[in-house]
Amino acid sequence: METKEFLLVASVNNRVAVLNKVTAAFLKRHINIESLSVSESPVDGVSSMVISAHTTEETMRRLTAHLDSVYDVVHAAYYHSEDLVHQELALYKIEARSGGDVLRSLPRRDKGRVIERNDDYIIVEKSGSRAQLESLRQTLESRKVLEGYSRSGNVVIHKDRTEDLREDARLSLAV
Amino acid sequence: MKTMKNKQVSGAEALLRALLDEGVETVFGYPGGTIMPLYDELYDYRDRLYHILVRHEQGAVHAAEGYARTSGKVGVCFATAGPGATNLVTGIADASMDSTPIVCITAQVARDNLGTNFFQEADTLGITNPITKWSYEITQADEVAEIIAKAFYIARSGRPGPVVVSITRDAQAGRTTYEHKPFTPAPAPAKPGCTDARLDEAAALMNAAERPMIIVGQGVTISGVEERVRALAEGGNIPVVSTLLGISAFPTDHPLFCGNVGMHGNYAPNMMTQQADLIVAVGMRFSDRVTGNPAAYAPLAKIVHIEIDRAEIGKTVRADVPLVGDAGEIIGALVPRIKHRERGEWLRFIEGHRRTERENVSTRALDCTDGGISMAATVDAVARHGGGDALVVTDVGQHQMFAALYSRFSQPRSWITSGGLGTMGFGLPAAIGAKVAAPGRDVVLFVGDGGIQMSIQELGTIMQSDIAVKIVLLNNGFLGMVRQWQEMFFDRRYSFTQLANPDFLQIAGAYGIKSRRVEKRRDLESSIAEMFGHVGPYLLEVAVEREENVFPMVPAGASLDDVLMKKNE
Repeated sequence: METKEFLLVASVNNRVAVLNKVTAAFLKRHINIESLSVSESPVDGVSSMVISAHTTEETMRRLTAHLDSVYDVVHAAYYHSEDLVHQELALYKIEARSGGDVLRSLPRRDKGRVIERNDDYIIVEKSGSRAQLESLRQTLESRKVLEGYSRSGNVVIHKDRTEDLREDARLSLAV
Repeated sequence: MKTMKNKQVSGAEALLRALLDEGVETVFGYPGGTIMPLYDELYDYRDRLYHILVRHEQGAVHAAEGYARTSGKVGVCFATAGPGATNLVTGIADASMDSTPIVCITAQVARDNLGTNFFQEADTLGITNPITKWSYEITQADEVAEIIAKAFYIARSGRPGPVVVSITRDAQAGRTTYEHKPFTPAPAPAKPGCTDARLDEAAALMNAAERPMIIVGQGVTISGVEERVRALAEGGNIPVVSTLLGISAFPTDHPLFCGNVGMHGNYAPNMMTQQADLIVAVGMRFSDRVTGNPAAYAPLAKIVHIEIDRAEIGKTVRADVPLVGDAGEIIGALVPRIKHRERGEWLRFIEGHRRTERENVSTRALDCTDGGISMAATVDAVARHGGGDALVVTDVGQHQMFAALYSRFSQPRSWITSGGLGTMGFGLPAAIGAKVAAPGRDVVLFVGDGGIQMSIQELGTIMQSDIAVKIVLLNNGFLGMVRQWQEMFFDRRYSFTQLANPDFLQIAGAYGIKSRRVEKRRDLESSIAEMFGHVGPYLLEVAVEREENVFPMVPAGASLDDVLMKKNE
């Protein structure tokens, strides 16, 4: 069975133990979570959870249906990465002495934004796809100037609002 | 009753009042250090809350399960912190698998001590979270009213399940003003339900089908729609079969009832599944025990799946027409759409296969011409004495499957067994719960010599609370089901399945329970009559054939076509 990356987007009640409930559904199916982000949603008391993971579509469909029936999960749906605009944020800590030269040598699109600089280090912030962020990390590592690296999980927004209800729509066609 | 509004009470008393407001009459429990404030308040509520002191917390949770499944109400159990709570885990998992509504109240160390490895501190929520429908830890007395109401709502609504409410010691002792607060769920996003178009499609399939069958699952019992299912079956002249948990949802003597499907189901229902052109599945989840190899399941059939839990739709087998929602509403809408059809050829096919099972399996299983006693003959004799009215509880193993095959039922909620989790040790405490819920009915427990020793301490509960369970102990000196598999699939290598057993009559006697051992077929009927005639609990030990096998049988992972009627097939 072909595996690929999926993004699970869940609206969950903002309370203790919900994250445990969600991650337990992944654990039960031996699916490793590649990234996870939880943030406030526009609805009071409801958080938005975005999880990326590699698995088969059938497994993802079952997992999503399972989560959608969990009491504190208001709604869950999964997406292929191309269905969404999704971005991650990375911070790079770069050695100050030669790091500046390295940064200046990078193409503009790869540079990121310097948010702190002193005699010891430069902190660069960059948002983009995971591949873009990893590419910069690898470049800085290969130039031996990277001292620290931290990457967030995904934040997502739907390209098409109707896609938001894709899973429900699929079921409604069947029901 | 004097109003409690604005009166300060302890969190523990608020909890007891909340239970009363939820209609709770009976609690199964076991006290301990951290739950002492609650038990101290319970002392003053003995006239309103019937507390049954079990001998192990696992007994409490299984008894709550038996109570819930017999009564249709939410079962309740109490356990203290740490080991008290962790001893509930098996029962919570069992209730989760079998959709049993229970609320487990566990104590927890005081809030300030959480996370310090305090004496008897265990991460109750973390441990039980994956196997509960919902859980919550109360850390302030003011939370009690809202959380208990919510816990009961969640346990009993939709697809029922277990809820754990942990309450810290300081929350038990803290003060609050108790006022009953019925739980009102927040509006949920609309999800596609069951449309008229889908109902029409399902009805058209039923009316057009040449070889239809209805599978009743436990959802029929949970929704209390046995009569509607009967109307559907009779309306369309459609034969009915049952899953293991659906047993007793349809009268076993009804002309349209054909037996049970699945691994140890009857021959005809499994053959029907493979030949049917339409399966109407009601309140069941197509477990692996029902389907065998799912890729080979029901190759000719369209499947109409009536199920309240959307997650079960298409999980293991396709659903050509999924009808998501309450079974009662859906079947109620289907019945007027169904036309009666003659199905002579289909019914003759079924009767032929039923006859095949009778001739090749049942006759042999019931035959005791050598004077010994088979498990099948014992269950059959109990069924004849019970006349279909007894409530049958089982443990797990061969005896469970014989009980499923040879028991008879004339009324719903008469069959309680551990299905999804297959929990040995379930039977004895579940029978206690069943008898407490239905004191006017005969409650018969079938249990093996292995299973009874997993919860044998609950004989003490029977003694102390005088619970008139009739225990039929089928003693073959083996862990019989495992032995059967060792015989059939592991070259008779009986690895650690023989049991050296105690004298069960002495044990029963020590607990003041009347008992008798029967070894000869000629004594079986009289001993069963004596058991039913005795007022109070009774243990009937039946020395059954040591290496009896239960058939029919579909080997694990095989197609339902590959059903075995005897060994070495």
